[in-house]
Amino acid sequence: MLWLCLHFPHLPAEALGLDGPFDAVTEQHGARRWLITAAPGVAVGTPLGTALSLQPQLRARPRSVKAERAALRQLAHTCYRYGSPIHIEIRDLAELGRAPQALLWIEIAASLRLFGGYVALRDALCTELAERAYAASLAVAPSRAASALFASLGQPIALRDRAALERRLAPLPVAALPWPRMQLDVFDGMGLRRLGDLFALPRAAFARRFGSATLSALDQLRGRLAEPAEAIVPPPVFHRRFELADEIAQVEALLFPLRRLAFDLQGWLRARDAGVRSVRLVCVHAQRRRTAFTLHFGDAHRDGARLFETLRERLMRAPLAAPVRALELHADETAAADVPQHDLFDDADRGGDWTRAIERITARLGETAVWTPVPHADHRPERAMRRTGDPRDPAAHDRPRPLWLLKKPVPLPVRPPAAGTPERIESGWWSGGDRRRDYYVVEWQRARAWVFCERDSESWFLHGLWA
Amino acid sequence: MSTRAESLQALLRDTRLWRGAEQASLRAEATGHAQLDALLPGGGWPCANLSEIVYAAPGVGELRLAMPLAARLTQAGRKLALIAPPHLPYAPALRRHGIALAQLAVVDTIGDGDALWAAEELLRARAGAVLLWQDRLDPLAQRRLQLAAETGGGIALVYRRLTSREAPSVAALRLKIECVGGAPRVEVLKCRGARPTHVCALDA
Repeated sequence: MLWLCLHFPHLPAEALGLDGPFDAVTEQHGARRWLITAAPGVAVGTPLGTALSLQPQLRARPRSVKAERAALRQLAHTCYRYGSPIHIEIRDLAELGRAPQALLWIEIAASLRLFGGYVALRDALCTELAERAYAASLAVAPSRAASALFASLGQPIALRDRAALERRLAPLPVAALPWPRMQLDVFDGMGLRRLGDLFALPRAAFARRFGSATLSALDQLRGRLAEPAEAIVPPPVFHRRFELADEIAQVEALLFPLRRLAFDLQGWLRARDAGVRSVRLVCVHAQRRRTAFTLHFGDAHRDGARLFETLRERLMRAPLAAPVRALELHADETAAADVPQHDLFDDADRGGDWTRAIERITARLGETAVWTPVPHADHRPERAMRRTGDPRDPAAHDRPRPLWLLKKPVPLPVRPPAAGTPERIESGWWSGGDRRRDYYVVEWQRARAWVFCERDSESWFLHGLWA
Repeated sequence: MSTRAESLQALLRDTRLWRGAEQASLRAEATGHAQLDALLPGGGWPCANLSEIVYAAPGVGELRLAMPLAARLTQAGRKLALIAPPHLPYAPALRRHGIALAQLAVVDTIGDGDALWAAEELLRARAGAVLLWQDRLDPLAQRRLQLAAETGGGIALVYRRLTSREAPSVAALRLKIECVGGAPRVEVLKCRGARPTHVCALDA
């Protein structure tokens, strides 16, 4: 087993969507509150009172373990494509001055070859995390506990075998261990300052004095004992909710959570090797009111940036109905992804640019704004064209028709100079849309027009233009 | 006498000399109307450029002017967009003109800004040609369309009403189309790379 551990030092803030420099998150135990994310001039672990006297601009918010757990779980789903199994843990000691540790482990021994070595895998992972705006430190070691220890200390080392691991562990201070402070104080009182000192003790005596659980923990750290835990598997449906820190009335302020949701969906789709055809975005307002938008894509894809752009255009289309409290994103329809495979000579839609542009336009201008005229087999001119359907459908029309058709026939005030044989169109009596018309081509106001005379009322209408 | 002829020859060989009657080489797509092509530098609509068609009212033959180009592009699998057309582009007639409808998108917009934005987006998405109906088009908007056309390499065609004929234009090509005696007639108002020449009738 080779574990890559990611430690997210700012997860408490990131999970709440805080990104201001003076935003800090606090942990509370009894009446005492202390900072668990750093702020300018204030270190992690500073009591809140002290922190506020040092940095009066500080905006402190209590942490939300639920949000952290959800964020970490989403990260686990994203990382699922880098290796398996995956474990997550939020180590919470709830002791004054100690910050919780949000940890994520990926077993990478099996996927190193796939990615072409550790460096390539690490770079891909770091790029993805940076894309999603999560700060993380990572380390690789043969045991989960040791990789977590190195990652939380910010030592980006990669160790493959246990001998090297013990050599690197031995000089570390005992105080760095994420163990209860009482236990660490006991070690300190006995003069055991380095991990090497602990390793050097006889095992039987160590177990008798400190308990067998402590010995097991030490063995797990050295990679000598298995570390069982429940593995994370991506869920079969995508449904994410992003709780906003405040009510937001401006679309611009929603872009950050929107981006994160879009990239969450990308991660989920990648892990499942699927693409999405339509998504539903729900804005949750006060009093359980909701606004939902559904977006359809031209092809099944899993591109986070494309999702984000389309969602943004849709949101920008109209002002928000009410201030938003939370955003939800659902993947309504998934399918096997159309991973782009381009013909060398295909000029029509290289890289799907056209499809994406149409999606953006549809998102901004509305579902019905973009259409393709399709002929339909009907004699009535206004029904001989539809806005949807298969454009290759060979509905035959051999009669000459004008290029412009008016949306509604315009009544003509005077009789146009119609002459010659009209084209008589008489159809639709069976469906209520009965039409009895004589169509003529005339010169009308310096243009070639298609006019008709309604045979029942003898009134004249303009219906098309030969443009 | 001979020395004078020689010096003239030397002058003509000098590449720095610009001769007014000569047309600059320009990449263009044939309009499909032989008489018009003969008048235009490069022999058609300038590629990756903005062109303008000035017309008095819908129905003078303005759409027919672009139909051969549209048919050729769509049949070659390039995309075509009609943005904010004044009336419904009628599918049976479009098909009669040889347009591959699968490659066509019509965009209905409410405001001028949306139409311009959609045109830019589609031009940048490498559309073969984008036909935009918009009367008011300030030089900045024209410049943006021109840039979008340059980026995507497509042909931007803007239809404007006759009233805007005198308005400034950065278009590489400006044509005026009117109906004279029942037949469309095209006048070249401006063409980059050559002097605007004469008037020609559009073959129906």
